[in-house]
Amino acid sequence: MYFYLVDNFLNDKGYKKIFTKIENRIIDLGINGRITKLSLLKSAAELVKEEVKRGAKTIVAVGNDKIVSQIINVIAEQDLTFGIIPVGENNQIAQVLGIPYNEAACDILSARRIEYLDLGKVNQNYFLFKAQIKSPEVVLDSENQYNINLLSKNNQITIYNLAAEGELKKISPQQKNYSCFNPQDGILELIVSSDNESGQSFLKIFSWAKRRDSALTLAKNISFFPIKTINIRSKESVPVILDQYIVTKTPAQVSVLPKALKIIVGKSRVF
Amino acid sequence: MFKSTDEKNFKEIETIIGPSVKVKGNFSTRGNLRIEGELEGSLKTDSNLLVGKSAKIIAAVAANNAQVAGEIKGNVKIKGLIELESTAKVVGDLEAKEISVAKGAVINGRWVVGSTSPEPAKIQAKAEKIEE
Repeated sequence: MYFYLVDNFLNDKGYKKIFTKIENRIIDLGINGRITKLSLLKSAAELVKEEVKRGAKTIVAVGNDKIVSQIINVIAEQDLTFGIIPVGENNQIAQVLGIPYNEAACDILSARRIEYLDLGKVNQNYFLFKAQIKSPEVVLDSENQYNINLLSKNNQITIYNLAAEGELKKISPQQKNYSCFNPQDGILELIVSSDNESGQSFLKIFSWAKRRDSALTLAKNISFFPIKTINIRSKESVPVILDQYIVTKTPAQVSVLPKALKIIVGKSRVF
Repeated sequence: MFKSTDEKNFKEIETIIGPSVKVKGNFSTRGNLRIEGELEGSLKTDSNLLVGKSAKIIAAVAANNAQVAGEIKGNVKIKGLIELESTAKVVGDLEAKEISVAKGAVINGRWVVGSTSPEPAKIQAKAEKIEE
């Protein structure tokens, strides 16, 4: 049984036609189910939990990365299938998963090409893309073996599970061909970077790449650690931003959960 | 020398300790490791180690092969080849199957260089500074 949770920005008149087309396509393909729009009265988490109790097995986010992140945090580690119908702006997740916009995404849902993806976990929250800490006043402890201290005030930490092309361009501006971090390798990629990377020489990183010909070229002043778990501590609590929309705070325990998300993907996904 | 080894052994770097990072503790990895920053404690990799010009290591070091352009204070044990660049400085005992030393490199300690077979042909030397 399908449950469609629609972001409330689709209430805008500009999206009325698109939404009607999506509804019609869902019926045409025989993948119809309950459609609920987000409101101020109930959170995405409450709505999804209610529908799961009623027997929903496939949860579909209709909207952008914001609602996708919210739903991932509800259905992670459960035997539920997740689908996305991207509408509007900020749809990096759907882009990486090879899901086209609007009603065209319904065909992908109907085809049910399913992949199991790793998720990153920070304290009790999950992320599909990345966790970010902009403060350099933190220490990273790895399984009581060693700790990583930042020496520059310009440093920032990003822990990737999966990255879109735009993200990789930021950390690897000289790269010609982009793939992405592999979200099915059971590894997170911890990168310590600084704001000033111009004029640096570059070197190639292969470990994370699914295809050997798609190595990532990084500036030499970047630090790169493949990790499974890491603890982040700081004298004063600082925010850890997950997938741009969810915020938790240090102290933070970061780990990777292999194959924790069952998701419908398109043929043109980038991993 | 630097380029050929770089191409052969260091193509697939898996971990980088960059110049703005200091690692403290027992750092161990299976993959190739490049250090441009600081490390204190112990360091072990089953693969190849590249110590950049700006790197400062105060640690016991163990690796398969190593290429050193920076500074190491501590005993170094390399299964295969260690290449010391002209800017390299090693303060500690060094053990390797093969060694290559560029003019200007500094070694302050005991060397054991030769086969790693049960009856190794050892070459031992003490050196303050190596000059061709």
